[in-house]
Amino acid sequence: MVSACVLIRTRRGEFEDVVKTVRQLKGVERAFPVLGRYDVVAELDVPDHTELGKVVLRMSRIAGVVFTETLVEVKP
Amino acid sequence: MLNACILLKVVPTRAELILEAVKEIRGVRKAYFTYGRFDIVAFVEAENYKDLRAITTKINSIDGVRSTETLAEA
Repeated sequence: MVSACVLIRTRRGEFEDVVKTVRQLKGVERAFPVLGRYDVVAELDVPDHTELGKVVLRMSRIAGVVFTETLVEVKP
Repeated sequence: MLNACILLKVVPTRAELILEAVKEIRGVRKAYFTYGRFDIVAFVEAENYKDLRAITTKINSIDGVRSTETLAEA
């Protein structure tokens, strides 16, 4: 399993819809709106890196998402 | 419960010790090393903002932690 933290910026005022959609994506363990330099944080647990790429791609295509930054777990 | 995501930049030589210390803090659900702009990410579940502040203060006081960026649930 590979874990990752995805930091998401949304268009102004659209974070609620984005959070709802993100939560439905396979592999998203948890997602919540945040204060600070980002609008939404998503916690991912996926089988491997290729699946991670797919989920992040799907995420970046969600209406209202303008920016994503993925922090991938370093596996020992 | 209040979710938060804390992003850390740390002194490389102390990274292992710091990750272990962070994992032991009450309220820290999950923490791991990351590729990218930050070295460690910690997912926290706090009782309230006061509790979150206590957790971030504890993390900031660990020797070798250079900076943290806390993203608290809105």
